[in-house]
Amino acid sequence: MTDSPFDNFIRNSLREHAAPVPEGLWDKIHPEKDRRRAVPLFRRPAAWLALAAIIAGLVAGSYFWFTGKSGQDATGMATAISPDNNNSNTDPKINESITAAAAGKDSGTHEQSDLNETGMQANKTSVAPNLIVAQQATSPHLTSPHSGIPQTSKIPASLLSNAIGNEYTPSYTEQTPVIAAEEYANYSAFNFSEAATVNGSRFSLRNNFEAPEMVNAVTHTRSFPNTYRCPGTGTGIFNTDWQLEVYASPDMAFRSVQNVSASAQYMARKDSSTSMRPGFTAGIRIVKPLSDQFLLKTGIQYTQMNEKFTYRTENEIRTTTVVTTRQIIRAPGDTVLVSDTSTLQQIGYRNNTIRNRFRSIDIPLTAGYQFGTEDNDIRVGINAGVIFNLSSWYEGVILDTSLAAVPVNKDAGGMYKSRLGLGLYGSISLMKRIGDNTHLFFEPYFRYNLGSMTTADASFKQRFSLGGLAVGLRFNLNR
Amino acid sequence: MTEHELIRGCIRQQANCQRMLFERYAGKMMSVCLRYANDSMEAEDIMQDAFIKIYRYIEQFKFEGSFEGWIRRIVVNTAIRHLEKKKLRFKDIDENGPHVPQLPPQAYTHLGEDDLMKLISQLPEGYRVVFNLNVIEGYSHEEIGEMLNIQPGTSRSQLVKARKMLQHQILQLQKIAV
Repeated sequence: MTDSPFDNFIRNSLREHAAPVPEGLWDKIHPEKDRRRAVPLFRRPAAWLALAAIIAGLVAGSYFWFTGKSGQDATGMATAISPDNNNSNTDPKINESITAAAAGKDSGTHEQSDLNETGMQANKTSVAPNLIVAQQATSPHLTSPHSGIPQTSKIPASLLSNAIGNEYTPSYTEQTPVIAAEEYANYSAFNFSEAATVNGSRFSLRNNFEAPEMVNAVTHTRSFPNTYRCPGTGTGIFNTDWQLEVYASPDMAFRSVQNVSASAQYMARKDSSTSMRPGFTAGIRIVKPLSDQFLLKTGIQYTQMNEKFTYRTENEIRTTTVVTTRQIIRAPGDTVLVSDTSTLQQIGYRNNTIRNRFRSIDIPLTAGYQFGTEDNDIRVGINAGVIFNLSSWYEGVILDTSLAAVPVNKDAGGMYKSRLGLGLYGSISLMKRIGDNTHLFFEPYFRYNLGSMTTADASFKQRFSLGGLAVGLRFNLNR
Repeated sequence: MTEHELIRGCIRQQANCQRMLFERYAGKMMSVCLRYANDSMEAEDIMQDAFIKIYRYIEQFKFEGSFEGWIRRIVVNTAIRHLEKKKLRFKDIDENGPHVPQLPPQAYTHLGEDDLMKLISQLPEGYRVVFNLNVIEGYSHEEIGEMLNIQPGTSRSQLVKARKMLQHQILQLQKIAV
């Protein structure tokens, strides 16, 4: 059955009909917003920053790792005494700290004498250990042409044992190798005075005893690490320390969503109904310093990202019972009370707000470079590395393809992966010494997950990046 | 600015061209959305989704045929997808209603566009969609069947009933006027 005139009339009337457009519709459509979502990776400043931090970390780490190795070879001494030619020449502390029984002075008086006054012209650089030596000095004459102890030299344990004194014997004798006899002759003329103090600027031993009575077993035990770390040039000596970091961080996740097969309406609804909220990360890391500057870290951490999800449930029914009581006075003394009960039913919608949680357990593996030396109270460092995800799960409510809200839990993750894969990590650390063995550190960081957190079956790809500020404590385990 | 330049500008994601495109076609497309939607809020949602698609896929326009027709197809498809999600139902209503004789043209020519829009919006959802697709957009029953995933026969019967209901409503209006 057709009705051409009627159909034609309707068609001609409505084909070109224009209806008024609601105000503000353009602001909802505005393609600028959509275009921001679709910015590729290489146009994102955050991704560039993360990449730059990682590259800088790797380059700096590699440079100092290799230069550190060569420095170690040149020094060639893993003993208690190191020549340290370069540094000590420029270190004005040497003149002040080397206390010896100078020629013509009583060695037993513990008086400090300037190196220049003793006529030890060349040995300003000769000894750089932070030894507090107790031995009767006889002749501080040093005529060796060497500017310092030869790099291949070794010192007999017995000499050091005697030179260091009773209080220090255990820690030094255990780790001091033997000097060749002929080389020992060059140094036998150099006598250490009782309580002679040589304070190397790069030594890890921090206590300088100015009076012999301060030198006792207790102070020694407190001051010396179990493992004695050799002084050196500061960049090339292998560090035997182990450190532990405990940290927590408030962080903020940045979400990027890429549509695969979802409708535009679904993506728009998803985008408008969810927003990221602050989360946190907490973890523990083992730190292995390879030198004073270069270090490796690994550990385990827990991360929770929070997402606020707002959705509307339709056809919510609210029933209100209304009781109306009236008093009718028909005549004096004839009063009637009338009660009417009615029910008011309202059908509408309700806005629900749910906090979705995305949790993950990760293993970070980073390399870092710290500027300055261990003696500095404040140090700055850069770190870069990777984060391996062990497990991740999502709990909360999401929209399904029909735009209905459905719950998701750990056991039925659905569209979310249980393992995120690999992520990149970059950070800058600021450390402040707060104790002999403890540092407080602040570490702003950025984590970029390489893989999508959604499975291949999902109608969109979703990826999280994370920025935060880790605050924690670093403990030296060797002390 | 010509239509060609406007499209090129939108492909280059120039904000002024995008805004101009919206202003040029928003009124007509809003009318389309209102004809398919159950209410103005739903029409607004459809409109929003449709224009997001238009800007996203405008580079796929091959400059062959009418650009307005291309936009209209996107809007209509978006409206259908939107209604499908709400379980579009094609049910028969008032099978035993009164027989409506074929209306003479003078019975409806006095109706304005807004009157017609109002009459169409009062049709049941299934009737309304098929009527819009066939009578106004010009799709055949086979095409409608594919678009809505129904049999062409269902489309035909829905159209007949929609037309019958519409004409009945027009007659009712006439009676009220008299």
